[in-house]
Amino acid sequence: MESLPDAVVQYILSSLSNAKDVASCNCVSKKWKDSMPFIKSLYFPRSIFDHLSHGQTPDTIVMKIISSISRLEELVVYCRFTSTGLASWLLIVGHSLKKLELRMDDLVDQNAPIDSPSKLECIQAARNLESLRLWGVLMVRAPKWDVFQKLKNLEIVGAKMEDSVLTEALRSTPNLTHLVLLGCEGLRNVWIELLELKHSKLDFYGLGSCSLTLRAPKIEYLEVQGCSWIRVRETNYLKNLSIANNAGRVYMVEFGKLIVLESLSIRGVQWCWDAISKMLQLASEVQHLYMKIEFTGDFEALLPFPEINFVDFFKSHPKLKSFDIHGAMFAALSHKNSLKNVDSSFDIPCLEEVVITVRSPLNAEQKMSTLESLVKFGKKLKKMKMKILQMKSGHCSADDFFEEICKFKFMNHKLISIE
Amino acid sequence: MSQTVVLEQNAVETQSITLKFDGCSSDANPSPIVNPENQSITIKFDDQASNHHTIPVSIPNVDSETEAAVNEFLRKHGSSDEESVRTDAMNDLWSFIERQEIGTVVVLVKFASDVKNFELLEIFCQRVADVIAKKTVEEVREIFNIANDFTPEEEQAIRDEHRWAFED
Repeated sequence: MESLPDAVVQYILSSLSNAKDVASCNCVSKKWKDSMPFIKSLYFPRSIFDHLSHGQTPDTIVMKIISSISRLEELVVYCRFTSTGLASWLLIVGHSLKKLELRMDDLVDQNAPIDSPSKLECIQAARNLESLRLWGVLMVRAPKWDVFQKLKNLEIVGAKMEDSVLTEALRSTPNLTHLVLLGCEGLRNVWIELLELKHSKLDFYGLGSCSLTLRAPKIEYLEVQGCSWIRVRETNYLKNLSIANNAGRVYMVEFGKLIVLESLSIRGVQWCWDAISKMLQLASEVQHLYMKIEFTGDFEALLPFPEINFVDFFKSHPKLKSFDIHGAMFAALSHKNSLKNVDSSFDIPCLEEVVITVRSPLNAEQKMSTLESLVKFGKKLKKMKMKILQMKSGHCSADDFFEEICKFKFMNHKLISIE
Repeated sequence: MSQTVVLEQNAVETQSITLKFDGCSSDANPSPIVNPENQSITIKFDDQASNHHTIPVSIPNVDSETEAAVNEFLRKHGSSDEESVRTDAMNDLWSFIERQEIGTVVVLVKFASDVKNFELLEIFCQRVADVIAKKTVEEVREIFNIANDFTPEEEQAIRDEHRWAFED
């Protein structure tokens, strides 16, 4: 090490970020001590200060280390801290900080007296932030933030807030290109307008009955969980879309044209048929389709899907390359009239991979026809995977069906695998 | 957690310590030019073309297996513009380096800095940093053969200042 140029040693040391390493490297030698101020990124793990001796607090220790850095760009604090501490740190590094990640832990003890000013409000001092990630945030009222002009990435994991609070907070982050809200509780009618947004993952925790209106004309990637009503009008750039609802029913989806959509995933226990058919209709250019919707029905009653014509379906999704479908959709494609209109000129031009999850042995004969048609007309088909779940055996038709599938597999063994 | 590293290859105005490698002698240790306003480490290589070695290089003080692995990286990395090929090359070199003794890696760092190869330097330096992380002061001194140039009082003062980091 002694033979390395100082510059290189400094370069090596400046990539350390764990606060404990930074502190102890100060002790190795004079050259190393002199290199420590050039660190760019500091990370304080969760348990780093679990055994502090009398007189030391996390706030002051963090402060001491931060003060020794000449230009800190990234700060990650998972250990506990107070808003006073945060305010004092940001007084020193606020202007140079580009990335900030904090474990707020507000949700752990929601009855704790609210620090004033709150930790959230202190963040404002880091006015040049490009990325902000917060864990466990309780937003009782919108933080009084000035606009974070440079903030491109915002991630909040574990939060509780009301609709208006979210809308107002996002007014301070107009230039976001990435927005992630995971495990967000307390929201009912979400309204988000972010004109630069490209990538977003939204997960609303609760009854699955949120409504979402998103105005993000540049959006390319969108994942939404927990909404029953979704409206995204401008979708000229949307390539990847995933809509899931584990807890509630999806009533209505409203999207603009999805002409560049390559990948669509729709999941949930129950979707209204209108919503399903609209999605399928809009996603005409889609290459990858994943459908795991168990039932349809506009009201409480869980209904099976209506019949879907096999030929029409594949003709209206000509670019389909991979297709992953679960029970209900497979059953819909396997109705008695589904294979009407099959003629010799029909083919499924791009399909390479199919995954089918089957649960019920009903209509076994039709289902077998559907499988055979997929193989027959899918000239490019490389892989067909069949997942057979929890079939109610004891019913002899289940065994027969399974036998049929195995026979089918045997005849096309290069293609088909069964799980 | 991302470790941000600033390595600039273009001569853009940045207020930083510019550590220029003097091309005339590979033993020259650059002296840092300190800009007090904004101090960050950037390593600038004046010679851009030197970052695209594809001809095999010979590396002093390492065994033939190591030399071969480095050359394989240079060949693969330099042969294609495709990101997946370059990432594969980096991953291969990285797994190889992880299995080598730290002394070899330090030699490789010196080599990379002498020949001004930015990509190699980044990989080797990251490995050294990974080895340093989570070690005690004594372990680090031993692994890298570093002499302790603090007086006992100076060292104790540092340990007192960051008491929490030294209590194990």
